[in-house]
Amino acid sequence: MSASPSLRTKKRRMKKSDLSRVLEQLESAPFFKHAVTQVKTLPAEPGEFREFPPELAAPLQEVLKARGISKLYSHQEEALRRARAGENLVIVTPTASGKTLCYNLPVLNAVLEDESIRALYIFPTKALAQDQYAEIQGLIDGMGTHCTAYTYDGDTPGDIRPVIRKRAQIVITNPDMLHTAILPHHTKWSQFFARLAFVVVDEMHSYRGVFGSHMVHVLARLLRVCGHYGSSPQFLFSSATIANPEELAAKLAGKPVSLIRQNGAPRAEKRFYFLNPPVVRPELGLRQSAQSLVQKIAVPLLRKGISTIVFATSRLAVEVLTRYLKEGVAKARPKSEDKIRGYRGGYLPNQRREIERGLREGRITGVVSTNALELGVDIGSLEVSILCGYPGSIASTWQQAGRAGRRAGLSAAMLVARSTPLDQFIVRNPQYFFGLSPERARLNPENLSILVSHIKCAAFELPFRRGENFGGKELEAILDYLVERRILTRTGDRWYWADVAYPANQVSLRTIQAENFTVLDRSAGNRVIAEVDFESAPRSIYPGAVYMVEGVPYTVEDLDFKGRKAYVRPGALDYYTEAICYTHLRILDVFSSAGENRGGPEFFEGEVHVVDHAAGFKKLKFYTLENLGYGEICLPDQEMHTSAFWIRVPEESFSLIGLSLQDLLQALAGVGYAIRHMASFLLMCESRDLGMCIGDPGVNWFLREPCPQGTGRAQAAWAQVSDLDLKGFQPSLFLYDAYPGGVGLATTLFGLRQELLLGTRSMIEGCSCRHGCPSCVGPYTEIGEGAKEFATKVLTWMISGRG
Amino acid sequence: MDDLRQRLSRILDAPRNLNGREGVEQGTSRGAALGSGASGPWVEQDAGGVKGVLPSEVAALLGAEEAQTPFGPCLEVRASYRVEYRHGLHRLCDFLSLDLRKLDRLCGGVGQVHVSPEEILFLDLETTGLSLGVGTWVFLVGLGFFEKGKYHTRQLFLRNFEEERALLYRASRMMERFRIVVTFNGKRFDLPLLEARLALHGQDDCISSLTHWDLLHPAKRLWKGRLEDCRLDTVEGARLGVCREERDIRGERIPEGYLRFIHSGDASFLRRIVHHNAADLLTLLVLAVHVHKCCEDLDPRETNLVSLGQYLERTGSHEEGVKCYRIASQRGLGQHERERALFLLAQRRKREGRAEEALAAWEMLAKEGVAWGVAACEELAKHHEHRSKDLAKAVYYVEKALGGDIFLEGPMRLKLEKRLSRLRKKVGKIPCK
Repeated sequence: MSASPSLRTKKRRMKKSDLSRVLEQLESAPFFKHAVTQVKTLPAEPGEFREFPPELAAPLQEVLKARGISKLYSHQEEALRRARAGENLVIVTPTASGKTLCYNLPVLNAVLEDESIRALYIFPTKALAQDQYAEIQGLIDGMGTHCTAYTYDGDTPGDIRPVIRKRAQIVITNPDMLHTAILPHHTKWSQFFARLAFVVVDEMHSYRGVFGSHMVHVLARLLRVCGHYGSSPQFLFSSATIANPEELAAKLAGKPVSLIRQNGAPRAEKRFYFLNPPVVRPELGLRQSAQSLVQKIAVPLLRKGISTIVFATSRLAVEVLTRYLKEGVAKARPKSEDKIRGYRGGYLPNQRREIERGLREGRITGVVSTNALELGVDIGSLEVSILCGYPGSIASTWQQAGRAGRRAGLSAAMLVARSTPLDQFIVRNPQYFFGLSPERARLNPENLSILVSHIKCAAFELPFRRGENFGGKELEAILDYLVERRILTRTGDRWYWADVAYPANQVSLRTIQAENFTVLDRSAGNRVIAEVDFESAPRSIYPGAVYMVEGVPYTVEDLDFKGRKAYVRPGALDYYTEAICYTHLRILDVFSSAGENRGGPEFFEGEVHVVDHAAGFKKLKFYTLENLGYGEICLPDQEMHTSAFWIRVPEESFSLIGLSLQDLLQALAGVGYAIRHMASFLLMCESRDLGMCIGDPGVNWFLREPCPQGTGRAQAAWAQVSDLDLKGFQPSLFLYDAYPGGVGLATTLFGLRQELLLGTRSMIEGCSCRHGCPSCVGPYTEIGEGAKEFATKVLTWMISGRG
Repeated sequence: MDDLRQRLSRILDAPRNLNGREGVEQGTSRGAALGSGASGPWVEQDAGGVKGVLPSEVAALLGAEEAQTPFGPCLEVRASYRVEYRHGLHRLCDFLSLDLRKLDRLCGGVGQVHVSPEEILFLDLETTGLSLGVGTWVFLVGLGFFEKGKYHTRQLFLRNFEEERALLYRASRMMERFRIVVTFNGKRFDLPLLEARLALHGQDDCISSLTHWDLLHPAKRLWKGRLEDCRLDTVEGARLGVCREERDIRGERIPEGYLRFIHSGDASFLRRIVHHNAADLLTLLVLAVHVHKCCEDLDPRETNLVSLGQYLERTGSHEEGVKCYRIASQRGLGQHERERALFLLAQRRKREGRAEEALAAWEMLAKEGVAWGVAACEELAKHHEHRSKDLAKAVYYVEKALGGDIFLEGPMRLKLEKRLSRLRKKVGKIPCK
């Protein structure tokens, strides 16, 4: 949103010189200078302005003027004009370019012209919806005319819900609420749907992968319901930069959407640094950890009062970094650690709101966050954004970098690479990053499991008629099958819902499915201090685990698995814990296969049963990461059916590849390490969306990782294998969707297998290490000295079918 | 095609162990509820082509007539009962002699209705589920009413989903002439669901103009703490002397029974469902009679007169409330209920400025009370501090309260200690009498 020219800006101008001085100091410091691989200065841009168009209603003109806005940015004016002409739009401009006005202006303008009009705003999270409610309410208050906007979500009290359904002109909600509460009860909303003129979908780029595939169908259901009540709303999307905004928007809206991407907002200067931590042990290809470099950079910034946000890629990393930064700052100025906070999903809502407020009001100088703060939650503007690790996509990188610097004054973004293959690729090829080729947002609405779920939900909402278009050409076959399964019934050309269930409750739009665990602090009368989602429980709150909240370590004393509660106690610990997990897998069915050549690799795509077993944990000392010991984890295994892509090495090809079995397993471990990163890169998903496993389900043998003793996984694996009857031993490398039922990632990989293998090979070959390092096949100390060479060999065989 | 079928079957059968939730849903929604084993019987039917009924035969099976509407036909089962007919403890005609204004008050109204029994409609729905979502079908609309000296039931049955519009149209037309609708839990379930169905078909809302008596609420008040729950079958068994017949069906099995008919034409449960609904329409009627009777009898063994008294008092019938408290204070179930009734009685009198009566009740509680002694002492202390200005007595009662109950904890103890210290200060200032 456009900030008013206020004292805040003035203050920032003073700070600006501060920041440039601090950056100069930093740039001359050897540790920083040597780590920088690229500095790019994004120059200030003046912006392009337009006069208020005459059709902009007077009350809106006034409220804008009152905020010191006398002209619109060109993209805002364009959005207003084209929305008025009835176009479906997707607006793609950078963070802080006044994007919300692009939809708020057309909607409010239309509501002012015709008060019977209704609009639905959809934000990916409840918190964002609350934020945007405050935003639009501010505009409405300023207009001085009557117009009603409400949020409608799980927190909305029951007694005001009927009022909202009848009166609210603008309803602000989230996809989950739309899916489970609004659409299945659409009769209560009949007046709303009959007059629905606008559907606003903000943060469109977050609807990709599984979530996006669900969202396509949720919106299709919305349109079916609108059609029933005779309305056909216009779509306004807004998105961060992705390669295919029009395509994604068209998939979501089910009709063509036109693009507005010419940014007319002025921009202040920003410096973008790419940093690679120095190699500390060249012989191992080991680099200093990204966390410690981030700490070295952030602590002096924070000590000088430069407002800084640090993005980390995991919740654990957030906690560890928060602790490091608090300690680093407190050393110089005791009691200042309150100015540094952690932020991530799992913190309680009130705590999150308090942190957001603290950031806006400047009480908090530094925050360490997961991508939870990447979306448009209002935290004001910060001066420096440090990315501890590549967030996994170019779009996210720009979003996170955009958290620093809004409109005026110098700002800086720094990407600190970890030693993972993808991070190293990015930091060594910054031109790729700046080459304006953000990823495509992929989604797979054809995923049968997701499609069937939503066909059930849609049938619950309205009977299907022959010839309807929902989810593709298989619709009628699926409907008939559901009739056979006695979920629907067919009379003539209609299919009716005929089951006792409430199908929306059986489908979660997000991968998080079961009830969360709550974490209770025994020392504070069992106060709830955090929540942990079901899947991460075996990896984070097993008895003996160190669980951290804002950097404070708590020991988990008991885990009540059934009651979904973990009891913890704070302690002054100098270590944290990391779980050791094993994966076993069984092939249930093969859908497609390829690679018939004798002696060549065989490729499959099908369904598998995956069992994740958390076997134990290790204790790692803060800072040194010294291993202090092990513990056992006794928790139920997690099982799921999902889809997988796998490559099998047939027995007869061992000799052709020219590797001993031991070397071959070493090679597969190396390929597995690299291929998972390449796969998530190709699919634009997070690497945790894909599971990886190496083994032969036929003889129930699987490679275990990480190996507790650090003696080399493949060697240990060899020891296990030699006990087996080797006749018919055919190891496979599995990549599977880490989501029950699968979401189509593995299927897509099967189609992309050549691209995947070539990409993986060039990633490994392009790495400058000798024997293998964390940036290609994994550290050779763990994986074996021949890993890199062997992995390349196996990949070549996989690509060409020859040794 | 076969490939698609195989994949679909895997998806629908897949146990989602990751959370267990979907697995559970599968288990409960398929089969089991009918008690005939999980998927077994279904498979058999497919193989053997079980004696399904033709749509044309359903009417005969249920003894229904085909009523015509502008939207097509709709099945209607009609029955009439002589008003002398006895359903459990009560006869149907007992309803005709009730004080309907009193019943209105008991159901949350202000008691200003002027209606004849012929203007009252009894309504009960059978549905395919318990959610209020659009996918829950109302497949049987049961209506009961008095006309020309008889009690009539009309049950509209949904033979197939295409006939819903006709059914709703017919139901609306039939409901038009009534002024009051009587249900059990209709506020939360039956009426919103019917409204949703009407809205779905764009039909006029025939419900919101009716006064609604939801008997669940008076039943809850009357039998709070007396019954294990307040479901209709619990109430009718425990209070109305109604015993369901063999040919009835348990309520929770109804959705499955109907859906079995929809999917396979297996009508074996339909007659039992229709019978169940008809019995519900009779039960609704005698429940109204019984609710009314309990408020006349004021029998503390059967009725929770404390919660009834509170309701009456809250809705302005003060003397009737007091009457309930008085009876409960003498013959209520258990010491706690008796003391509570007496205390509430005293509070009522205090509000009315009838200090004598209030004092007598408090003093009795202060002397003999177990659960309400402390509260009574506090009231006495207040009275003597502010009204009679007898500080010594006030101090006496506070000390008694503090000393009497060594387990007294928290805010109450703090409050009393504060009062005591204030009283002591006051006593110091004013010379003793």
